[in-house]
Amino acid sequence: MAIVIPGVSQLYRRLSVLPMLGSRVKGPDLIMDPESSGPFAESFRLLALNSNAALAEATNKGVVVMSAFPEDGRSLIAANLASALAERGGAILHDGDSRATTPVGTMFSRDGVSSAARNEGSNARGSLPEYLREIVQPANRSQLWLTSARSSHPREAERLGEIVRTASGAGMITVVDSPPATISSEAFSLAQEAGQVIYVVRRVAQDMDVHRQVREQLRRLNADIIGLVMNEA
Amino acid sequence: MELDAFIRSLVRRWYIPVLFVGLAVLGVWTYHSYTEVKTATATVVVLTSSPAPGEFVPAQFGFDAIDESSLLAERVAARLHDGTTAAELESRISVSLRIDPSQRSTTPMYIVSGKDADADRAILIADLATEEGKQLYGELNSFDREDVRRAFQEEIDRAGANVTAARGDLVTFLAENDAYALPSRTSQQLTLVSQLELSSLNGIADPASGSLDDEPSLAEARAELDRLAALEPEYNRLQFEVDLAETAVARLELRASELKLAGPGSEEDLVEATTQLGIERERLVDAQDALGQFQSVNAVTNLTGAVQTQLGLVNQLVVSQAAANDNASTLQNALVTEEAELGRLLSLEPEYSRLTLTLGNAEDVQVSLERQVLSIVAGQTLPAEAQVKIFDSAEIQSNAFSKMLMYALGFTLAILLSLSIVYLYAQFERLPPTIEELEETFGLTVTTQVPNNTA
Repeated sequence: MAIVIPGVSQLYRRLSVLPMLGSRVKGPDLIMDPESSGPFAESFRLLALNSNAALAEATNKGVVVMSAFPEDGRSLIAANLASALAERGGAILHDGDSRATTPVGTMFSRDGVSSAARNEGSNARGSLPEYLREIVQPANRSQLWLTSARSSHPREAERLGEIVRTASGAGMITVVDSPPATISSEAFSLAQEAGQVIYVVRRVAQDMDVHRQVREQLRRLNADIIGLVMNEA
Repeated sequence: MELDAFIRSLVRRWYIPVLFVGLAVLGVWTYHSYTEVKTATATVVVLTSSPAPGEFVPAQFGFDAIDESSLLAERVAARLHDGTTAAELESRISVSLRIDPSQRSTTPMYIVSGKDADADRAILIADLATEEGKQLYGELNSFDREDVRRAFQEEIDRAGANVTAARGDLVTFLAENDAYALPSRTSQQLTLVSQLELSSLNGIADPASGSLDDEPSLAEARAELDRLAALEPEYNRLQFEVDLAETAVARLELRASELKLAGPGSEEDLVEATTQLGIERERLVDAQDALGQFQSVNAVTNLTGAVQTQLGLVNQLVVSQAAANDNASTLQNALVTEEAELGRLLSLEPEYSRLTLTLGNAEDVQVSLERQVLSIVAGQTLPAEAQVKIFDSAEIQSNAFSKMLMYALGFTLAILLSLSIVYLYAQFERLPPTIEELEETFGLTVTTQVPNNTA
């Protein structure tokens, strides 16, 4: 039996599950934009570069951002990765966490969507394949589109596959935000469908055996872990 | 648990070992402040000597055994005069054999320790314990002289009775067989017979050597010889008593002079030896008086010499008388008579020798017993107390080593305890994974670390 003595940071993290304190409501500066600089933004640009390289030969250019526990920062990583990928040529951010009280896309809406950007997005939508044109929403970033899962839809994974394949055909990478792997198997379904995973671990005290189990499960589902992210944010 | 996990936990909780070490040092310091006891030690040497062969040496116990007696603490407490009880002192006084690893000296040395919170008082206790221990050692190693006398008296009485009985048997034998001065008489009788045989063979008598008008008659000479010879047993007994007393006096005089030279600590033994010497001197005077009176009454100074002289005279008279008769048959008769007497005397010799030997043995036993009693009562070695010499007076011993030991022990325990606590912390707590742990778990390198966005 493991005994965890919570410190101040753990206590804060536990309190942050409350919607008003959660990581998704920390503030608009958590999402990078093309003008962002510094270690935070550069870490995502580096991640985007690695992801691009890893997916260069892949047929389905989709990647699921997974983690074992809630509050690991999946949405933050997914949103920023998608934003960094958009800078390199277009990306779709798919909200695969149907149970989340706050969709990942709202990060961009709170980030302030200028009317100019909205118009630019509306105009660019016309360049998307027809299937995507019907389901994506423009984000306030150039070449970044948002989609979301339909809650409790039995064929949601297959739908994601279609999105990834279509987006890949259009030269875009699909980034999928997923629910915690220890809470929902939906994350594994999404990973199997996308084929690639970026695994996020927050730097807090935790049981490493859980990660080994997740890794083993992904191996059985033929989902490759193409990136490992240590989240200290 | 891996070492690096323990070390990380130790780095995070560095204050635990620091706190425990601080507490240990403080605890040892407090302990010393409130319980520190000064120890003063004096060194005592106990002299030993090898006894002469056959000499009696009474058994003694070691000097270090005296602290087992409550008497030592009682005496020191009495001399302190400050209300300290013997029970309080018993645990503060100790005597132990000093171990010399180099074995340079075979003389046993002892450490007398006194403990007290005050250094001066510790020295006082150690010095008093040394003095009282020395006296107590002497007392405990001495013996009751009356007990010794009582223990030996029965044997001495028995030996005396044996001597009396043996002497009685000898006297009876001598009286019944007219065998007084038997060895001398036998020797003289041999001479007489030889002279008579020579006269008989020559057949010529010497008139000049015949008649001796101014000499006593043969009968008178024989009577005197018988009288002297009959005195011999009593004379020998009295002479034996004188010799016995003279031996005791000589022995005690030597002992008294030794004790005077021994100096302090031997006063009691000197008094005892002097007393005993007085008794033996009186005994010697009595024995000499008895002998003198015997000699005076019987008109004889040197009995053995007198008997010899008288025997010579009798022989001469016998030869003279036989020669004066100038008669071969008379000479021959005298020769036959004296040869018969010689034969009788020679036949008595075996029994005489046996009885004499028995008496001699009994006398030797008595002499030996009396000498042994004297040795024990007057002592042959130095008195026990005088054997104890103070080598070094009491001095305060440094306890720096024990202090350092206590601090080292406290430090070690604190480190061990604190590290154990840190270990338990490390065992039960979960720490954030390191990059290396993460990479080991997934078999991949970490692609990126997302820093905290404080911008």
